[in-house]
Amino acid sequence: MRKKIFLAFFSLLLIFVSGSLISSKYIVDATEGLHRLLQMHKIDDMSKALSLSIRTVQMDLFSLRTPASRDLDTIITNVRQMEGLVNKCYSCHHKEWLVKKFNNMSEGVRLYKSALSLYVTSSANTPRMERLGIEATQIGEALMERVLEVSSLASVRFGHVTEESLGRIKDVRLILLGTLALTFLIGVIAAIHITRALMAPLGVFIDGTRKIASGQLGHKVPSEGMTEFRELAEYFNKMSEELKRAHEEQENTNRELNNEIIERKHAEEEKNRLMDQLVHARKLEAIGTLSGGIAHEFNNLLQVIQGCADLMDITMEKDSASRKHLSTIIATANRGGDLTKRLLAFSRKVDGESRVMDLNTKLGQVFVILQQTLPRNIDIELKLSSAPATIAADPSGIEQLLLNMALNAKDAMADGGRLTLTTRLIDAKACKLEGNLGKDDNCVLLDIADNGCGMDEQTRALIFDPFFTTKDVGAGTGLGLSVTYGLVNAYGGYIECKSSLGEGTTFSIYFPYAKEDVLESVPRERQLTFSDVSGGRVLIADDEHGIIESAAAVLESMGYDVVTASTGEDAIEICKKERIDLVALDLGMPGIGGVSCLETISTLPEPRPKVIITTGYGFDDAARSDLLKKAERILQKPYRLTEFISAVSEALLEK
Amino acid sequence: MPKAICFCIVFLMLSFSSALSDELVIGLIPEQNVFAQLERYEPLGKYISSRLEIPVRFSMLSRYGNIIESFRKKELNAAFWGSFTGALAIAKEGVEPIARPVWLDGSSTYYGLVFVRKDSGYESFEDLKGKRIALVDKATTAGYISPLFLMKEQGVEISPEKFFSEIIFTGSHDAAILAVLNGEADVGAAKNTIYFLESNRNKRVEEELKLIGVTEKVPSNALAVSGDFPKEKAEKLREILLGMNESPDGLSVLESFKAKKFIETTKDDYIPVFEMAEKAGIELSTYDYFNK
Repeated sequence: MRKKIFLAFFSLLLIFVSGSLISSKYIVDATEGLHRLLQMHKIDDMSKALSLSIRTVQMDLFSLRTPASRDLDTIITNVRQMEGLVNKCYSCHHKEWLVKKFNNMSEGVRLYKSALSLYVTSSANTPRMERLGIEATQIGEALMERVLEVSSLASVRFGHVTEESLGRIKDVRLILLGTLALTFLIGVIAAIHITRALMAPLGVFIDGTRKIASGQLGHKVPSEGMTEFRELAEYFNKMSEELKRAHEEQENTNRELNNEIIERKHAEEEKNRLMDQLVHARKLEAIGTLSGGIAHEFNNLLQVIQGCADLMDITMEKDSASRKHLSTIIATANRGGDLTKRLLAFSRKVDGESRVMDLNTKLGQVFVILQQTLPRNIDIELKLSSAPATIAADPSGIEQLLLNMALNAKDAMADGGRLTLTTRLIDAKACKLEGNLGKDDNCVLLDIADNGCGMDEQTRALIFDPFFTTKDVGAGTGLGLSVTYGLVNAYGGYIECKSSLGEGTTFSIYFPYAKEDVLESVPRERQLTFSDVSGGRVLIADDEHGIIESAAAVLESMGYDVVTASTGEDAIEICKKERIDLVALDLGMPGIGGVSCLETISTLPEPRPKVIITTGYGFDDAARSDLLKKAERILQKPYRLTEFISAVSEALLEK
Repeated sequence: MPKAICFCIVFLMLSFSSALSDELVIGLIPEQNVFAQLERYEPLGKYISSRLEIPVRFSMLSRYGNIIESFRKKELNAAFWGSFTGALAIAKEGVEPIARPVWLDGSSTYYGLVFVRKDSGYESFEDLKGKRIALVDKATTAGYISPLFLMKEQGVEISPEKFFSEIIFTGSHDAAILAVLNGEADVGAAKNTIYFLESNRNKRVEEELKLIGVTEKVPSNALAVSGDFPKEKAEKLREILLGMNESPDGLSVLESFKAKKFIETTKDDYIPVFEMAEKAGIELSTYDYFNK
């Protein structure tokens, strides 16, 4: 391109310069011609002046010695002027034939002057003077003729020169116009060509730039055509690629940053969720501890009432009018026992033993019960996993749990609806039991979903709290979900609730998947009867006087020898001093307490007494199996005296 | 254009106010070819002009006869007079002589020559009776007065009009020489200076003419100023002319003038002329010098 532009400018310059040179040459020639023309004018003027001058002198001669005669000085001046003109003419010409002519003229002038002088100075002899005058006049005429001759020659030459000059001027005009026209033409052609050559690639670049501007990073323009544009195109493409690369890098960075932000947000959310869970769990834990303590105390009290009522039942007349009241007392004590049992269940002190069971089987059983008990306008759907959903739990506890949930669902679907019970086996990743599971452990998910009224968030946050209920007064105890919560936790599971107002509620319960051999089989308690009762010495260790009283009374009535102690230390002392066959040991005693006492008794030399633990507390499976290694059985307060007697006699019968 | 008009008016006013204040006009009597004479005098005029610091112009007086009238009419400031015209001017116009040239040969005088053609065979004035004579002007010393005086002294007692068959007044000395050369006249009289000048210029003069008489010497043509010419200016003019031979440019002008120097000239130098006129019976103050 550069070459083309250079070429165009160079040719323009060449044409212009050559045109200018030629024109200049012609102009110089023309001006020379004009100069010559001017000179010719001067020559013409001079010849005219000369002839005029000669005429004047001739006139002077004619008028001499007449009244119109000129002064001699004037005549002399005129003659000298004439001579000057001749000399001037002569000085310009160098051509031989002309020089000759002017020499002749000069000679003529000399003669003329001589004759003139003779004539003007003669002052006498009129004929002589006339002769002199005629002579002078003739010389003057001859001179005049020569001047005219030269003048005509000059005129001819003048004509030639004029023609020549005009011709040259015409040529100059033509050459100048030609040069201008040619320069203009080539200039226009070059301009059009260069403009086209520039505009086409520029269009490509503009288009490319527009595409890049509109986001098509990495767009490439064809690298073709002139060298400069090829180079430009290469740089352009590089730039485009670089832009694309930079853009992608930035996007990647942005993506990474976004991901990081999202991750952090998730982590934050997770942290908050865990924190909420923790807070909630601690709250429930605290409530559980509290309610466990209360339940224990109540169990002791209820045990006194139950024991005394059982004694009265034994001793009271069959038809006594008070028996009705006694029955009420016993029934109320039972209800009290139920209540404290549920409180203990919430505080995970479940009374019952866990074993490996198939949740699907249990669901099938509960499904039958529910079909019979739930209103007809509620559809119950069962979606069970194809593989057995085995978990480690107390089947009765699971049953209670399922019934509790189903009843809550029923209440949420007063106008009918659908209750869906689903079990699935999921892998550990999807399970929310992170802490409780190994990497490869599976998880059993139980979904209990209804499409009832649902809950708001505020309600949802409180549902596991004991005694929280949305039901009418007397319609619920507010312990159903608390017990569920306690049970799930007791079985190592996790429960969560998703609910939205008007759309329904889904409880999701995650249990650790249990293989058949996970749990060691807990020794089963034997069922005994009164017929097995035989004698023996029994130590009742309890800090509750009422309990000792009722228990001792019934044991003595059955033929047992009864000793009592109100502290652990006393109980150990008695065991060491006397032969005791069996100790009914309360774990919550003052002093060293029941646990230490049990520990000591179990280390006594044989024959050491057998132990039945009576307790108002609940235990988890681990604690229960621990205790049962050292004791015959555990009797949960409040127990019926009949239960107590059979436990004692069974233990004593055991070898 | 208005400027040019103003300039012309001022110039005209100045030129009319006083002839001398504007330029020094010097009259010349035609003693040779007027053009040749002017060419001879012009360098001198330039020299005087440059020293006097006013323009100098020469005016040719056409005829010897009316030279005094011309001088008077043209209001000339000065003139190079011939000895006779000088004497006339002193007598009639009261002009004051200032200086005259000393010629290259050292003379400051001139004289008249009488000449004939060699082939004429004339030897003495006696041979010339009834012949045609070419004289210059009745008012010239060398071209009229002194030759006639010489002839009278040498025995031509009768008046020239009767002695010669024809008297031709040529008006200038070289014309008189030419007249004899061309056979227009048999004898001629002319000033020695012009004769020798012509002789140098024209070989025919020496080849064809011979001298038959030489007159008394008279003072050469002197510059004399008019009677009303300011004295101090006249003195200045005299100083310029007398000092010419002391400056290189003055010397070169003198060379072209064919003179050595200028010497002081007074009325007393004209005494021989007056005496000659007296002897010739001419009363200068009443001399009728019109050529007839």
